[in-house]
Amino acid sequence: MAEPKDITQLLAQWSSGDDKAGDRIAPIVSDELLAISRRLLRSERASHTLQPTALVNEAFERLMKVDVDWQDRAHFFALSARLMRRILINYAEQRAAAKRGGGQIMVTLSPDQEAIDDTDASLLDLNQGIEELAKYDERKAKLIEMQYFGGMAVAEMAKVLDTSQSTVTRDLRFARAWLKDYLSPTS
Amino acid sequence: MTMTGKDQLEEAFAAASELTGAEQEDFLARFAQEHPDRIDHLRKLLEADADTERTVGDAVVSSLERIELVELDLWVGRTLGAWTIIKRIGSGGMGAVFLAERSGEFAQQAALKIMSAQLVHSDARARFESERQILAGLRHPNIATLIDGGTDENNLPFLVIEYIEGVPIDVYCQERNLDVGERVALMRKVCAAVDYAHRNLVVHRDLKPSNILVDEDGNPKLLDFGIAKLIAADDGAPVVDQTAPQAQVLTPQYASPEQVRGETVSVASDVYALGVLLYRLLTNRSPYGDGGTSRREIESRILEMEPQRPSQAVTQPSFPSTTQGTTHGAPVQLSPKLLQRKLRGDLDNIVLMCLIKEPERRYVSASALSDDLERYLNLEPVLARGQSFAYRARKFAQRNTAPLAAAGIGLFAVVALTVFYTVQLAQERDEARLAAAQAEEVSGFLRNLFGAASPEVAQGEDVTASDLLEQGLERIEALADQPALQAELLDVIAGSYAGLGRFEEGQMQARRALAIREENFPEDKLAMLPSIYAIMDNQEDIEREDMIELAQRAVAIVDAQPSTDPEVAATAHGRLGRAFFKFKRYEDAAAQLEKSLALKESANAQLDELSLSIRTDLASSYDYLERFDEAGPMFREVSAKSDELLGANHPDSILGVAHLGLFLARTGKHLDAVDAFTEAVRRSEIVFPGHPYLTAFKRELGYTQYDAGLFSEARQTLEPLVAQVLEQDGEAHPQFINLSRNLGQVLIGGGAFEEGEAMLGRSARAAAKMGAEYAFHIQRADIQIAKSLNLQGRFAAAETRARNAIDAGPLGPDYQRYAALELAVSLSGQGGYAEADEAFETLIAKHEEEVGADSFLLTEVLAQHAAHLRRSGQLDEAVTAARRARMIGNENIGAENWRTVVATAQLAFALNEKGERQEATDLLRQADTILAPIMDESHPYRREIAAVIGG
Repeated sequence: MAEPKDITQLLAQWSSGDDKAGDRIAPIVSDELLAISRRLLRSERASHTLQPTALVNEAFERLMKVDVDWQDRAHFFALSARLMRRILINYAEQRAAAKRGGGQIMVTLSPDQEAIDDTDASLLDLNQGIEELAKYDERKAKLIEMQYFGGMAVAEMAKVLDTSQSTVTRDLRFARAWLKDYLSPTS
Repeated sequence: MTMTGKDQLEEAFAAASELTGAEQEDFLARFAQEHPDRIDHLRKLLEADADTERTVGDAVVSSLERIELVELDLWVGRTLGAWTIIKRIGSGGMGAVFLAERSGEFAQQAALKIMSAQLVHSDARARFESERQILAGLRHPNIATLIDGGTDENNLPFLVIEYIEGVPIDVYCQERNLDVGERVALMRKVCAAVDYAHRNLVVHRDLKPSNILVDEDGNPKLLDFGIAKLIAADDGAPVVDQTAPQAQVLTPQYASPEQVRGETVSVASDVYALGVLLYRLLTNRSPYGDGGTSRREIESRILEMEPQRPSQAVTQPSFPSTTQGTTHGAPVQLSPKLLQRKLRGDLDNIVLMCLIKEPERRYVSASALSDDLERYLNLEPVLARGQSFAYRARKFAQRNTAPLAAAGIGLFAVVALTVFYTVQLAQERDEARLAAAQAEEVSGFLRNLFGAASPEVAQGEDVTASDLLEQGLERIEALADQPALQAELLDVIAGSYAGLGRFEEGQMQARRALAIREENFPEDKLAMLPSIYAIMDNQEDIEREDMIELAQRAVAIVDAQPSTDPEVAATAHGRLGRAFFKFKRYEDAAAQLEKSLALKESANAQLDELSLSIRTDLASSYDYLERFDEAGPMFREVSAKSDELLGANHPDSILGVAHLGLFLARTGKHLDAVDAFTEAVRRSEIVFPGHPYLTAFKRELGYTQYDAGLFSEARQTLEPLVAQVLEQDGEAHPQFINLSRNLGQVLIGGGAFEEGEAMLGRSARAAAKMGAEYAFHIQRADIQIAKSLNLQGRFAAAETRARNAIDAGPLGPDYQRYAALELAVSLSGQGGYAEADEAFETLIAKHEEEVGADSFLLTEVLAQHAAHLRRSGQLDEAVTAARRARMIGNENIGAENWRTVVATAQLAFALNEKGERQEATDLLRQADTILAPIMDESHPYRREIAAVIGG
């Protein structure tokens, strides 16, 4: 597959208006996103992998519409993480809306609806937690987003935030504890 | 420098989270004095940090998963093969698992696993197939068994596996509140299953609690055998293409360092995973601590971090005494202190021995681990001595030939099966049907097995089983100071050579092993048995003079020690029985096998694998002694019991059905034999797709269909098979020569003379290309061509062919008779009555002597004799001969078998010529009704019948 350097060049060309670069980039970006979502899934609970092709396609469609200054591969990942978060939250919100009787039913609900509702609820809670964390410290919220929605490695996150890896590790640990504390039922 | 409150909190968190116990308390006390407004938040943050059960990413993962699950639920209600999908019960990177149901007579629930569509590229698919074959051979009470397999209409492969109602092993331990000893005992059962798989060349590669379910009765069952290996097919290959489904360790928490590095996975990797599992069951922790860390961090810990001793780990704050409810694992009824005392020492050492970074320094096998756990339970000293005993560990490492040894043991099973198969099937019928081709087929099969386990293949280079054996031999040479081990490995190597058909080398190594044992341990006679058996296993085709002698020596060894385990003694007598069988000393064989069976049953009257194997041999001996009344029920019993005991798809069970089929065919029950072989083929298509057995069973099916007069069915069976072997091996191969000849025979049987002769010509030409050694195939083809010519009334040409066949060289007794029959018919047809008279008389006498006066084979000869007598005007004699032919046919193969009907027709022709027209016409009408579906109107028999009926 193409080197990251090629990707960023193509991305730069494409974002500066070269549509052909966009065509050439499409398959490459899809691959990258596929890899991202795989790593994303493995980073937390590695046994539960899946094939998020549909997700990735959607992420990519959104990606194509966004006008971003592509600096490097790490920034690209960070953006993907943001998109992934948006997609998942949208799904959860739509289902929640469908459950309330309004809106459009996006997916057929399977029999174990209870569990699914829990899933949606905890994702929406998490999202709210990240928003709160961002009010406290935006960089930390971004780290959480990059790690959990982008499956990014410490080195990549350090690059995006232009800081050291040890700072990223330290901040992440704090951010996780902050979020868990915020989300715990007793808080 | 001034800090904001926010910075102070983060600083303090970073510092405090690195501290434990009293130190942390001291730190917090100081912080509380300086920042009373922030101490609560800090404490809560530290508490959240220490809570390893909840992780931030869970919600993300779950919501991604559920999108997948919604898609998977679309499968519910679909039917795959005989199975209807009821509900989803699991999913993972490699596919999804559903509960499925088979309705009808064999109603059954099972787990149906669908391979993810993304993984169905050609390589994964090929492995899925070979995996299915290997899985089918795994039959163990602690392994979920394969029931069925196939592909859906989109060619997506699926497997149907025993459905286990149970809970993951960690949950089970928690729910039942098992104590340390009970957990260790449970782990031993898991080890036994893993060890069994290793012996069958299957490395699990993904052992973890969710793959080990424990049922109501406390039996652990391993799931997902082989699938993990299948998924990890590209182990070691650099990740080059992110779109291709890559070999990924699915569960980093249980992955060994070599798996993380993408290196070759072996038995030792499973031992490592067992160590992680044991660690978790005993301490409720991962060896490298928990905490929401990324895959990369886990991996780097696996590679670099030395795990904490379990006894220390349980005293750490994240031990479940600080959290409530949701944990699975450690025996929580014990206080950490008490638990620490229980784990300290032996269990620490055992667990850490599994977790050593270098695979070669771990336990050599799962059974070695299990043995040490047993020693722990029995309060005996354990082998594991912890890391400080590096020397001992290195000694251990020198003996670590585990992957090879495990491969070898697995090969033994394959070898035994192959030898068994070769002996039984090859000898019972046409000995050339399973000619030299076999060795090559077997080696291909072994190569697959080896390939699955071999590093070189994983890295994309081809390596042959022979290469592996040679490597193994080199390693063995270095073991001169350990003669016992050396001899043992030589036996294994010898067994593998037998499997490859390289009998000379095999015998040499086995004799070496025996010599080593005789020299170093002259008193340990029992230890010589494996070497003796290994020599015998290598006496398939060559140098078998001392086979009986060797077997007698084995019997002498076990008989000299009355305390010998009766099953060991039974094996020795069984071996001698089999040796006698090979030398066609069927009486002696039966006597030994009866003795063997009695010994076996004195120890254990259960029908188990040993007893089934003895019974199979005994039944075959009875079969040859024509004690059909005893052989028949025994074959049936073995087949039924084997289905029950080992499962219908176990290779032994399938062989059982095939044996029954052979017996039925030999005793003239052709239609029943067709059923048996149809069943053997059906099961083999599930279990051994692409395996030589399947080819052999199809071949047998074709022959029995021919014997049953199902000519067009036989043609449908054999034609694709001929095409297949042609593609696989080309023309210049015994498989093609034999099968094409038999197809020719079938075509002629149905009246397609021209096609049949063409096919026989091809067979003969292919044989001619292969040199003098294969010239006997030309003679055999000539006999069949002679038969075709005789049927068409082209007697002179037939005579030439028959004489060619007889004069070109020595023929086996069966073929001598077949040739003599065609010669006699051709002579009679040309008016050489006196010569023909004599030829027939000699032939019939020979038949009576060689195959018995009531063999169904005599039906055809007597019918032809009747035709000759009629032709030469000896009508009364013709009637007598035809009546006898018809009687033998009626009794042995039934009135409706085509051979009997041909005899009936001959009787009618003779009666007709004697003027008994009415009886003749009646008989012929009956005969024609039976022949009409299997022979065209243009067939000479039917034309002749029509002519007589028409007057």
